[in-house]
Amino acid sequence: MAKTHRLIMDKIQKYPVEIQVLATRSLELAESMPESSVFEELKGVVRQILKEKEESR
Amino acid sequence: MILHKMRLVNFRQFQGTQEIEFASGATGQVTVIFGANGRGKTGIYRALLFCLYGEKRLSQDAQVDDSELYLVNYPEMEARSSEKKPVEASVYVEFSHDGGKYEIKRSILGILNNGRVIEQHNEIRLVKRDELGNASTTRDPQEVADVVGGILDRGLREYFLFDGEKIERLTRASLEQKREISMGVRKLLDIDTLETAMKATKRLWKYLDSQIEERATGEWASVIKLLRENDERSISLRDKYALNEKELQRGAQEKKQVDVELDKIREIRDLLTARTDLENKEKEFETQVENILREMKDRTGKTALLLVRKTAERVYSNVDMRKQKHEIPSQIRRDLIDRLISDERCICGTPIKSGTDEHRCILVWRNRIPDNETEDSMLDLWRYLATSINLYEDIGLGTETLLQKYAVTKHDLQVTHRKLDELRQKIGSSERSDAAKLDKYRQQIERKIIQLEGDQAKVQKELADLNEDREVLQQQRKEIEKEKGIRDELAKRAALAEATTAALQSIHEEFTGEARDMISAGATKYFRQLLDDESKQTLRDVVVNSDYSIQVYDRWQKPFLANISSGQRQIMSIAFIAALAGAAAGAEILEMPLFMDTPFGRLSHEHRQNLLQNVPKWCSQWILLATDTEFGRLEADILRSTENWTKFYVLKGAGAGSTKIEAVDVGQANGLLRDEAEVA
Repeated sequence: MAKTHRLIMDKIQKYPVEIQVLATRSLELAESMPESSVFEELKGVVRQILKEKEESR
Repeated sequence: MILHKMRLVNFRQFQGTQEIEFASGATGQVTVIFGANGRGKTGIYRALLFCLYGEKRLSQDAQVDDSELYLVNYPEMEARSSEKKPVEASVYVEFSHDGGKYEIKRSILGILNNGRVIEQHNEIRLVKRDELGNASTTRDPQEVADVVGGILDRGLREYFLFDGEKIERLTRASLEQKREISMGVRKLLDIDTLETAMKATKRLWKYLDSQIEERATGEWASVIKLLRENDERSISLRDKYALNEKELQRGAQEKKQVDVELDKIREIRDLLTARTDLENKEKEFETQVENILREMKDRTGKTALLLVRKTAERVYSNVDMRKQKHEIPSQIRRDLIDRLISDERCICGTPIKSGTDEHRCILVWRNRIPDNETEDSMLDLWRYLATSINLYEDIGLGTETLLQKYAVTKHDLQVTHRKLDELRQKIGSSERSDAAKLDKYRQQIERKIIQLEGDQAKVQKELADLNEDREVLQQQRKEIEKEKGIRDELAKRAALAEATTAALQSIHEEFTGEARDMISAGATKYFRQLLDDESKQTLRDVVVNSDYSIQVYDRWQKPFLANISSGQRQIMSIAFIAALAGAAAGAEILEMPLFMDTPFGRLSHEHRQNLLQNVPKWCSQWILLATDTEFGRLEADILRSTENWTKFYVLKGAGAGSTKIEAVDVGQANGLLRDEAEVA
């Protein structure tokens, strides 16, 4: 990701892990995809994040 | 992106094969390409844009017909016209970026047909070599566009590949220019990416919420539905607010323009000044009237007492008189007299029989005395009125003063209205019919502005109310979900999407604010490095506004952009771009070439010197296209002293409209340059 995003990435670190993961992924997708495509991808991403959280308990 | 080499083949006036190697990296960073007007300096710039982006046109070609704009060398096409074969013109560029090396070659075919030039894009080839030397090639135009766009977005190219005229226009206070700068900044700082991510996560959140709403029942479903409706209404109002703000800005801009036009009409200039003064007075009086009315409203309660003043004074006087006569309080109470009558004996022991004179006298006396309750009430009333009577004076005086003040202010306001109307008629009916039209238009704009401001106030109020409602509803929803133990999979996903959206929104706010501050600080620093000593006394800070327009402030912190010279504007543009590049890089120096085509045109001697000394410190590569009238021995000496200037090319006429690119040793440059007295 570009340097500018690194400035944003620093700010994301302040948030809980699940939010960091979802936010980071949405930014990565948004670099090369339009909003509608990012949205479709995120449906699966959010499911996966919670599943992994459940499994790690 | 750092440019290394360019090879032109039959491109524009560069007949045959000609090459330029750019100064880069350890070999220095400044390349000067020197030549008189018409020798092809802009052609080099055009060649670069053609090779990287496939563009034929520059912004200066806006009015040029397609048939007059061709890239293939004309003499070469003429020479081959009898063969009826097209001539291939090509541009080859080598550059590096982020550790990778790139070679792009783009060609175009041209043929002369009955005196008309017909051109057709031919081929494009991009070779990329990574740090290990592995090469990949593509000939797909879209793939090439994606690669180049990923390195230097097409929309941003004007900020790193530009000519002085264009950049000077960037700082003009017009809405189109502001929009252009805003778009450029947003792209450079990848704010668009952040906003796309924000919108996508918000959309995800809303989608998951709608799924929950479909499954929810009872009160829970109602609350979710109300939250959704609240959100939709807020979005609609925020859009309306943003639209109104744009309209207000446009209106203010238009009004300013009309005033500028009206100001040009000398004969009404004094009238215009008088009108502005009267309009200001009108506003003051209107505010005063509003304040007085508000004060009167607050005094309504007190003032109402004045309605009963006469009655109160009469009652007081009556009771007071009876008090003076010792009728109240009576020397003997009525209940005691009743007792004496019922006992049929006076206090002194004298019998009081019914029908006797004594009985009659005591009855008369009894009837004169008010009963105890009435007497007590009368005394209470007397005491109350004794204090109130004094207040009436003050209330009366205060109310009278306020009424007089209102009357005077209202009168002044009416007089001002009348004077304004007369003045407007004079302006409107001046012998200049254009003034009348302009003034009428101005009034329309003013009415529109007032209406929009009213709308904005209403929208803000409604948004505030919606926000309050939203907080209540969110709390309700939390309580219901807690009570029902609703933490199923869908609700968790929605909660995560919501929290992530809020996080990204907060980051967006922080980041854009910090980015603007960074650019402002950088632009101010560079601006002051470039300004001449005299300008530094007056001009202080460069600020990027929330709409990404730029403004310069004087030492009294007043906006000063409208008053600076075109040379100073040019300086400001260069400072702004350098700051933008620095903010994007997150570092002082950006690995992007600053490609400047005749930037000195409007600059004074001192500004040029400052530019020559400072720009090499800011950027990793500076390619300077200069004419003989702006780059002389003095400029060459200054640039040479920075020890960054290592490449010098002279564009020489080669007959029949052609140009030859000749490399000259930097140390020998002065032999070709004019001295200070000859340079404009």
